[in-house]
Amino acid sequence: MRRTLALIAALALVTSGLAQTPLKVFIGGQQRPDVVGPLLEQFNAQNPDIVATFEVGGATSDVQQQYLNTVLTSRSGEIDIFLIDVVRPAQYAASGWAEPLNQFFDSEAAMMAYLDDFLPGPIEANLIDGTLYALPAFTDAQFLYYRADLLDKYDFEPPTTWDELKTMALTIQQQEGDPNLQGFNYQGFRGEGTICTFLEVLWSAGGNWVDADGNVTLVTPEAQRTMAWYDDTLASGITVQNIAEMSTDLSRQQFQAGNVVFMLNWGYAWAHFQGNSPQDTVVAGKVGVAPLPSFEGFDSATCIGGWQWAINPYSENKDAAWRVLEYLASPTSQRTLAVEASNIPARESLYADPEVLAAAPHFGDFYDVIVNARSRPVTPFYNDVSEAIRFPMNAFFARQLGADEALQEMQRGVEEALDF
Amino acid sequence: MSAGAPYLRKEGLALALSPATSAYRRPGLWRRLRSGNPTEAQLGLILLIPAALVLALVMFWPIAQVLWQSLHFERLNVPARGRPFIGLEHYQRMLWGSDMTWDVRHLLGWRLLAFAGAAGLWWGAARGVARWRTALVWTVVALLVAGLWMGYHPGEAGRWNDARFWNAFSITLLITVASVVGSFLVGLPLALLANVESRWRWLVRIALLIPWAMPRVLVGVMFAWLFNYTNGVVNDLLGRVGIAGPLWLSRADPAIWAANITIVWATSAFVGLILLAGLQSIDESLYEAAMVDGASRLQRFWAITLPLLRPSIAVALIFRTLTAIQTFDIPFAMTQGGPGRALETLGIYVSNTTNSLNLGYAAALAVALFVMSLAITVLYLRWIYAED
Repeated sequence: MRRTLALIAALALVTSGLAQTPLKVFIGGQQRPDVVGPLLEQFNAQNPDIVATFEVGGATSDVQQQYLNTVLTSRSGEIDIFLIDVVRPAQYAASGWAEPLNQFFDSEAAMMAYLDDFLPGPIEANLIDGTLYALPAFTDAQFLYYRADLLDKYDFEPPTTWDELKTMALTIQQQEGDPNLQGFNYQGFRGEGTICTFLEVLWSAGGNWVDADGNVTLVTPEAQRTMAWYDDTLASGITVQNIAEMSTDLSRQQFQAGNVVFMLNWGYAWAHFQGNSPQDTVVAGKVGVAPLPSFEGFDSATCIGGWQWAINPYSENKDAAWRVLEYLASPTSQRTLAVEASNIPARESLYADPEVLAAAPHFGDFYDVIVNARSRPVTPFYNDVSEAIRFPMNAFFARQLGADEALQEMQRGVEEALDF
Repeated sequence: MSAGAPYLRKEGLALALSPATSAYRRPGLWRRLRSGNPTEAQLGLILLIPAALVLALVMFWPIAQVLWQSLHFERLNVPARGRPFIGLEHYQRMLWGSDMTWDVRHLLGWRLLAFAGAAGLWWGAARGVARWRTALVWTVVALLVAGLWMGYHPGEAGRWNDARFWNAFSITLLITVASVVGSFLVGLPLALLANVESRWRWLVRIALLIPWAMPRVLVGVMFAWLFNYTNGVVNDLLGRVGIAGPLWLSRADPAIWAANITIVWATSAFVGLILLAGLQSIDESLYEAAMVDGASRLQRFWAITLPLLRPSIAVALIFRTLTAIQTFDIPFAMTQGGPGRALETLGIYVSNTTNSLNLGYAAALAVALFVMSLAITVLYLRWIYAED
């Protein structure tokens, strides 16, 4: 009996040593393969029975999604784990494109206890009717980046209202006398960033895209105020006229080259400004971060972003994949991502972590901003809703549609996308 | 062909495969094969089978599948609805409108011109200088395009069910016409230049190859930088000669120009290469004879080069037009189809619809794209074989 057991144990040892489970993790070019790669190598070293490798896709949310669409439409299990944007879980849940994770916990109570350390925002996106579809890799929010050196020079504090921002930007532009200096830069291109450009100002005027009863409310005084503000940024000259071609990363590069006073952008920009970037930076040590301004009397608001780890339901190694997922979502991995890639942690405990705070001091200060970041429309038809907002907004920035026409087009488009 | 099978010629291939019905009972296909003595026609058919099967598998089957899919509701984010058959609903959404009104004045001049052309052809046909069939085809086209499409037009209240389709359709046509004409006008001089005897000919030929060898997406990204309003080379150069450069990629009209210039840059090399091959097949002695007769350079070009180049021109134009109709990469890389929807071609619309997981409607749009390509190919082929 004992010999049989020993034999079985030895056999198990041998087979586990021989049969390494290969796993493939898909990330985008923007998600720092140089940081994720070493993380996976570390996992492989600790888990000899699994070999996790990664595959790098396109560098924008849209392009990454296109690739995953192809993989998942053809029911391929070639990729085991993928990163998805915070706006996607609802669609993945509806299409059956993400493996429900509840099965990997002993009980629902155990799952909720595990999720307790995560921030509520990302969990809200991933937990749909009690089913968990993904684990947060990192969260994100848009901030107001500003040139601390220029604000100091003119004795300004970071602006809290849009009007203050305009006054400061105009003053600095005039005093500096540099025709290439942009007062205020944001995203106006025909892409995902432009949705946030619109929603953040709408929220900071007390509006929302939808009311409590689920009616689309895009032709409202709040929305008109939003459009009037963006008209004003162009008319007053604090924003460049080619804002319709300004993508997220183009914004970041222009700020990094020292051409921008105020900019709206995501958390990743910080690491670039500090010199952790393929481009040169002239703003290292001169950048400040603040919550977004708002209209007088209303609360500041920002868009929630961030990425989630999910398991491909067509994968053949889901148990092994779950172990990788747990590892990637662990405090250790999130700390590495925060320190080396300035990815904002999705775990509460890391906001008091000395290593994280040393690398990105503003994470601690803006915990409130991050926690209170608001969601873009949560719907399985997110692509259609997104197109219905980004097209009129981009056309508005390109001066093809007037403010009212753009809002009407948005209202019609979003209603059509959701009316199903 | 063996002397014993003259009937095959008369009765055609159908008989070769059908059971013999004539009084003379000829050996069946199977028996002839067994005996190792098939007729030439039979052998030909047998040898065609593998090619036909491969063609059916990789061409006709996918086309049939897309057609079939376009008749179904299929949205991957609505799995509960399944994949029901919905007939022509997608096409109705694509081509029809609601509360549409007749706009009499809309593009009236062009429409009258089109109808005048049709009337002129009928008049010509009656007098024997034009063909009846041409007149008929032109009338149908004029009625459909000038009568319906240009006149049945959304007024104040009405709108196309899918205005986005009509926008993409027009953008695609515009890019096709502009970039095909453009790449021909640039490609022909390039080919003539590369054909000139000179020490630097190899350099010109390499220069011809480079744009053609570059990935289109890279070309798009590169030109997006060149056309950037604040940091781009184009506006910098314009600024040096005192011209304020336009907002190339942030306004609709300049964006169309920018995209077309980029496409022409990337594709005129291809046109040039094909025309160069054509130029080299023209017999030198024709030019010598013309020179003896005292023909000028221009006369030689018009009377010898251009007519003899016609087959090459047709080939270059067909390939160029077909790729132009399917344009996706360059406008997508430059602006993702923006500003607004100024560069949203049908290709980009199909891709966006697929990414919204509405596979049924995307299939219908792809069929529209396919029909456009097919129609243009047929027109070209008729033009090539017109004088044969």
